[in-house]
Formats: sequence, structure tokens, C-alpha cells
Amino acid sequence: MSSLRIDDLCVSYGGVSALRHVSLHVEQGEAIALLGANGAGKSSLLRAISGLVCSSGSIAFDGVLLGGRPAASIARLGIGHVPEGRRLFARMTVRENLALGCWDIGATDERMQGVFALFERLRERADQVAGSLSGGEQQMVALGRALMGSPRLLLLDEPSLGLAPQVIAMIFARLGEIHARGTTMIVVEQNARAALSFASRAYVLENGQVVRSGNADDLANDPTIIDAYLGGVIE
Amino acid sequence: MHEFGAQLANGLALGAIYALIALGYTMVYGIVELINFAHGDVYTFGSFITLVILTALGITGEAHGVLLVVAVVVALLGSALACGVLAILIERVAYRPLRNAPRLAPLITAIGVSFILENALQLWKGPAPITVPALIPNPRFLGGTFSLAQVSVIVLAVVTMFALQFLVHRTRLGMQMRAVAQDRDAAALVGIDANRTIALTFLIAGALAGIAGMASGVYYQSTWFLNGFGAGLKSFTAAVLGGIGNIAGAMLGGFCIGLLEAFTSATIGGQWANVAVFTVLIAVLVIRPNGLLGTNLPDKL
Repeated sequence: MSSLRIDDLCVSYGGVSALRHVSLHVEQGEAIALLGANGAGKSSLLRAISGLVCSSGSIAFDGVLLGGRPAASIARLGIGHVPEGRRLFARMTVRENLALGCWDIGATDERMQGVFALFERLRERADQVAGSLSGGEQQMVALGRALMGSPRLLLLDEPSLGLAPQVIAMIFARLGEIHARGTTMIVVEQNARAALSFASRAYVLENGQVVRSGNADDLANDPTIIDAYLGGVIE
Repeated sequence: MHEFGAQLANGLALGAIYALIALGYTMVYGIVELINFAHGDVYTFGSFITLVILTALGITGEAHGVLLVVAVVVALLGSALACGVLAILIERVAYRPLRNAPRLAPLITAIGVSFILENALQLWKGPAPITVPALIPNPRFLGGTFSLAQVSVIVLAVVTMFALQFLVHRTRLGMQMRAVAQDRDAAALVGIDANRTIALTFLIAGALAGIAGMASGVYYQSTWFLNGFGAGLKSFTAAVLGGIGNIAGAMLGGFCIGLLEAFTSATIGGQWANVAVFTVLIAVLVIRPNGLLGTNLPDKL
């Protein structure tokens, strides 16, 4: 059964269209990547799934139609969204940021221990203000905050943005662990190489439309993709 | 010396009322960045509701013993509840539809709501000042300087401020309020219903205005339909003086302005009170643009 099924999705901002007739599906337990240049509509797609922007067409999550639902209620259906730029509550502590991610109050402590087990650094930083952390640590908090809601589907918007290579490797290793536990994932990435080695399938967006889709391995070896998104390896 | 003590007592009691109103301005500003100009009129509504409740209880003057306690508790809770509900209604009808409009739109709407409330209150109780029963008996404290009513008002304001600090910084609702204040989209992504959180903030701010309205009605034994106009303006000033969005700042600003007003009236003359208040406001903002306790970042809530 598809975890997420999107049909004919359109999004526009004040007359400018950001997504045009996008259809895609993500199977239960799958990890897919969304590739595309700046402004291709990758973030808009994630924001439409989460209900942060209005859209037409249909989005179904585990058979439930999301259209017209407010963002807060979509999150509570089990969709975790790690937004672009992390969007932490910068003046609140790491512990508060994490606690806010969990609406099942009784499970807060247990899940927070789970996040600390995944990211040991956050245990040391628990009582620091989130805005004072390094970029990598902030990304860990953003990811941890989404995990606190125990999501079945995790949307990741540019998790590698502005991070050092070894931090990116660590983040993707943790994402691999989370995926291995059965969480379905959609990863939006500028870093196409990292995304294609992580995901099993990928969709390529251009000007708000899906122009390619297929297995990650196939795309990673496709000359046009290499040229456009993998830095055009010269041989 | 006796005069100084008397003005100190007056100033602190007046400041306590400003502080209570200022807390509401600051709470609402903290979460939706709106100067809720209707807030002062909600405060007036509180004093009217207090009058209704005291009349219903058959109280016409000083009460004693059980009756005093019952009257104070019922008037306080009744006024807080009525004003809280009114504030939620205002938010729902006038501000929520403009949630994503340019900032000026809700601001002008707030001024409009203020006019509507003032006119409604005038229709209800007429244009003349109204007497509120002198509910609180008059024993004096600290060498006769402070009356029981003054001590009660000051204690009420301080206790309320600590309760609010606890709510905002130690409870889950407070945490959600701060989250919505800092980043509404991010709050939605973690399942926080911003509309509900904002409505609850208005409920709390309205309840604070209700408490202030009850306190001032009973303390000054008088109210009228424009009571909240001047008091609201002064309290807004207090919130800005202390650093808007900052709870302790609202309290500090309220007491500063209350004291300043009392001492200016007693020494130079009542007509100079507003001049003094706003001169100090300007002077403080020149030196500390974010107010006395404000931080560089707009420290919302």
C-alpha cells in the first residue's frame, strides 16, 4: 500500500505557479529523493503535503485525504517535517524544542531519551538555547524535534544545507538508521549525490513539474542527470 | 514625610492597575505582534461587570467577614471570565480573519473595535461617571500609610505577574505560546494549533484586564465608559517602557508610571502628570530603544 499518493497537485503563490500537475507516490517504508534546481518546487511540494501552503489536486496519506486539513492536524496524523533552514524555536532550550515535538505528553521522556541516544551531543546541550548551537547541532535538534512526534512519514528539506562534509555524513548515517526502523522518507536535496546514494528512488523536478523519475542507481548513472545535478563529471 | 508615604501608596496602587493592564498588552503583542487598542475597553467592561455583580449580591457599601470574601472572589472571577470571553470574541471576529493581512490592517481594526466597545459601554451605562460600592473596609497599614484596598491591589498585581511568569515559562501551554510567538509555521509542523493558542492568549489577556477592571472599580469606587481610554494608553506606555513582550517589564513599567504620575500630581500638579509620563518614556526609549528590560532581539513573551 502506498504511504503517500499525490495526484495532479498544483500550487501557486499569488498567480505564480510553483507546482504544476505533480503526481507521485511513496510506498510504505520507502526512501525517495526529490531533486531539482533552486525554485524547481521541491520545498513547495513538501509544504503542500504538510498543509503550509494551499494546493489543488489530491494528497492521500495512508488513505486519508489531506486536502483542507490545517497543518497542525496533518502533523498529528504522523507526518514529521524538518523544514528548510531548520526553523528551530531559537530562544527556547533544546529540551523545550524537543518536548514541543511530542504531543503524546506521556511519551515525552522516553522519546527524548531516544533522540539523545541518536544524537549524544544533544544530551550535553539539552539546557542550552537552541539559537546558540552550531549549524550541525541545530540540524540534529530539528530532526530530533520531528522524531518526537513518532512520524510514519518524514519529510526532510535540505538536511545537508550549510553543513560540513563529516556532519552531512553523520546526519545521513542517522537518517539511514531511522529509515531502517521502518520510517518512510522524502528527502529534498541540493546535494544530489548524497540524496541518490541514500534513497532508492528519485523524482526530478523542473519548473514545478516532474520531468524524470526512476531508481536512484539508474538516475545516478544517467548522463543528463550527472550533467545537471551531479556537477557534470568530465571523463 | 507623611505626604511622601501617601503618594507612594497612591502611586504603587495606580501602578499595580497599569501593570495588570500592561500584562495583557504585552501578552497579545508577544504572540501576534498586535497592539490591541481595544484592550483598555475590555478593562472598562470589567469594572462594569464588577458593578453588576456587586449590585446582584446586594452590596452597597463596605462588606465584612464572609460576605467580603465572597464578594471579592465572585467579582474577581466573574469579571475575569466575562472579559476573557469578550477578548476571545474580539479576536475571533475582528483579528483572526486578518491573521495574514498586512500588519496595519489589524491595527486599524483594533482602533475600530475600541470605538465600538466604548460606544456600546456608553449605551449601556450612560455618559456620566458611575459610582462603584466601597466594598473594601479601610484599616490602615504601615503607620497608616497604606489602606487595605491599596495593599490588596498591589499584592494582586504582583501575585498575578508571578502566576503569569509560571504559566508562560513552566507549563506546556506557555511553551506552545512561546513557540507560536517565535515561528508560527514551525509550531504548526509540530502539531500546535496556532488559532487555539492565540485564542487562549487573548482569554488570558482579557482575564487580566477583567482583574484590573475589578480592582480599579473597587479601589477608586468609580468608573465610566471611557475609563479604559486613558488607562489603556498609559498601560500601553508602561508595556513599552518596560520592554514590550516582556512580562516583568510590563510590571516594572506599570509601577514606574503609577509612581511618576502620583508624585507629579502631588508636587507640580495633576495637569503635568501626562507630560511627565511621556517625557520619561521618550527619554528611556532614546537610551534603551527596547525598553527597560527589553533585549536586543524582540523578546516575544
